[in-house]
Amino acid sequence: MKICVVGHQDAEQEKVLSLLRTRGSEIVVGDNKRLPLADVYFCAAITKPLKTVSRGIVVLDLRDGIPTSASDAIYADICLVHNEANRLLLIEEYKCEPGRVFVTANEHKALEIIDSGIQDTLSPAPVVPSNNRVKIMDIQTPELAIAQMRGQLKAIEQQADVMLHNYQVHSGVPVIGVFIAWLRRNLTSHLREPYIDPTLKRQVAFNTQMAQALQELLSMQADLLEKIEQLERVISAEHYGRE
Amino acid sequence: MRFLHVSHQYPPAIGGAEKYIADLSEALVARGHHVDVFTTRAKDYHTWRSELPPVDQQNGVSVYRFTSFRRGTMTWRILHFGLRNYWRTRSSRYEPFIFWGGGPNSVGMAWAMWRQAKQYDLVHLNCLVYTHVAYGYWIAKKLGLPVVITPHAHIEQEQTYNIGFQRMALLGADHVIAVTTAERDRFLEIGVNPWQVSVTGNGLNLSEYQHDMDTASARQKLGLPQDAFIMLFLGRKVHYKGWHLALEAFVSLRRQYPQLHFLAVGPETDESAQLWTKYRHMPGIHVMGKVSESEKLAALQACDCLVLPSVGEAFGIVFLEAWLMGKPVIGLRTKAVASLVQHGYDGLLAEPGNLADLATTLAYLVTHPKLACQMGERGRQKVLQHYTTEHIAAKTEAIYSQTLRRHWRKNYREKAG
Repeated sequence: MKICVVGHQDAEQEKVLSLLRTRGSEIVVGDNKRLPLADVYFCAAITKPLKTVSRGIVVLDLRDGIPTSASDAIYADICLVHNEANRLLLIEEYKCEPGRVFVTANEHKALEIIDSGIQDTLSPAPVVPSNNRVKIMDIQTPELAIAQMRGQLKAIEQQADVMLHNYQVHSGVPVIGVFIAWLRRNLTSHLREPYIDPTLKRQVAFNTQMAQALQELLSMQADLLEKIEQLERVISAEHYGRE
Repeated sequence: MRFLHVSHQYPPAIGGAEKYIADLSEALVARGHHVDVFTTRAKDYHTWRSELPPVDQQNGVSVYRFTSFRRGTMTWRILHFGLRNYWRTRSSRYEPFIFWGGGPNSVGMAWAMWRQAKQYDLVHLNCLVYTHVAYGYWIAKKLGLPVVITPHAHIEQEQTYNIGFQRMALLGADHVIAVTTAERDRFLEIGVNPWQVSVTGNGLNLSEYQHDMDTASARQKLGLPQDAFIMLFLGRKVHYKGWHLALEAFVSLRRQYPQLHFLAVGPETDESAQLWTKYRHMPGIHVMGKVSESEKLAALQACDCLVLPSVGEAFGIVFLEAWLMGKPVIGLRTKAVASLVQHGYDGLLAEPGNLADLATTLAYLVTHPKLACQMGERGRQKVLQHYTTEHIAAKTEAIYSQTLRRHWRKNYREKAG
């Protein structure tokens, strides 16, 4: 395997390279202007020629830290970082694909990743689905939350009566349709009248009470928030008064 | 490097997918690549009527346009017949109906690809819902070229990405570019290899949004009151864009907030024209049809917030446009929009199908103008940091390089046995 090392190498990268040397890999050095043909391009920063290299695999080793020029990390096939915080930084801030950023502190593991990367047998790093991700910056103001909850409760109240009052058993069959409908009504009435209808009525009563209880809780919550705000105003006025 | 972009339409045809591929092509040319575009001569996907010139040069991009079969009433019926029965049976025998009915069916474009695509390093197919992606994919694969697809899929509408031939192209492409994380997650669910899907987003060409108007002069230009709170709807007034929901939310709030005005900008439809006649006497409604770019900028500058309660957005580039002007946005909590708009941070989200929630959300912005300004400013920073054409071009260039390397590795392994 021919390895092209691009740019400055730190201690972490030197360890990987010495492992590669012991395995008999040929190591050549590339610079900012020229890249020799190789199977693996190993670097600590993406240079201009690396952005358009169309063979092999580009491995960006950022285990020594995330530089300010890390926005070019998107060009690498694989990024190696030292810890989960740096991985998150690369993904959230520099928009790297989560599957391409691997956390590894150990050179043997790094070598394994490179080996399976060139064979395309590497499993991508775990991708957290966007809807499961915790949004750190999500700001939900209390008034908005309450106002939105009121809207939702209104919709729940409107849906509390789940019974289909206008439903009538009927049949589309001509002439004997009336008889079929009568038969169906009578065949199901022993279930509907003593069991299904009372159960549904109880459910409707429960839904309505629940919606009312939630409405009252929400009003209490809104009152509490208002009182907290008033208290905060009083405390801050007293605080500034003392100063 | 030499890239071939294949799209159903290209500007001056209007649309998000058209703008995406045009901005991308031009930005890649500016980065020193050679980009040619194969597209149809149509500028209206309802008819695929050939009306644009066959050859065109736009900011360094050579655009070759080909004639396609017209889509008339019969073709639409064929499409609806195919779609209706396909979802009922999931049978591949209805796919030819969808294929033909969807279009654009351009023999010339297919032939030109077959003859000339070999001279390019990579083929990028734009907008999966249309048929050109299916035959473009097939030809590129036959020629052994790496294929990148940007599907612009509406996640809630499966017919935009999950018909048999669309799925085949998605799963077989060397790389798939999703515009939102929600779209990426959906592609992973249907089996796209995680190595072969990336999220780039959409981007704005900042030079197109430079103007010297402030809010007061924009309002003066459009004849809007200076002291009003203006909610803007910007887009085609088709049902799925939810313009009628924005109108209903406005109507429900107007009595409570008399300073609230509704500005609806975008091409009219029969449905919208009918509704305007119903509300023409209501104060506070301002309607504009299709407008020029400068009028669009004025509308964005004049408004206090953008309301786009659309249920069918692949991305929602209009959110970016509003943010760039420093305006907060209100959308519906659909998967695609929720992965772009951060609720309470740079905009607000309402529950789909819940008009009361939309009205509450709007009322919140009306009563909290300071917070609304903060949200707009945060949105602006977000656009400048992640959603400019330059960012999208850099990400796409990176994806092209990764795809070419992966393609090389695959060929190398095959040759080595």
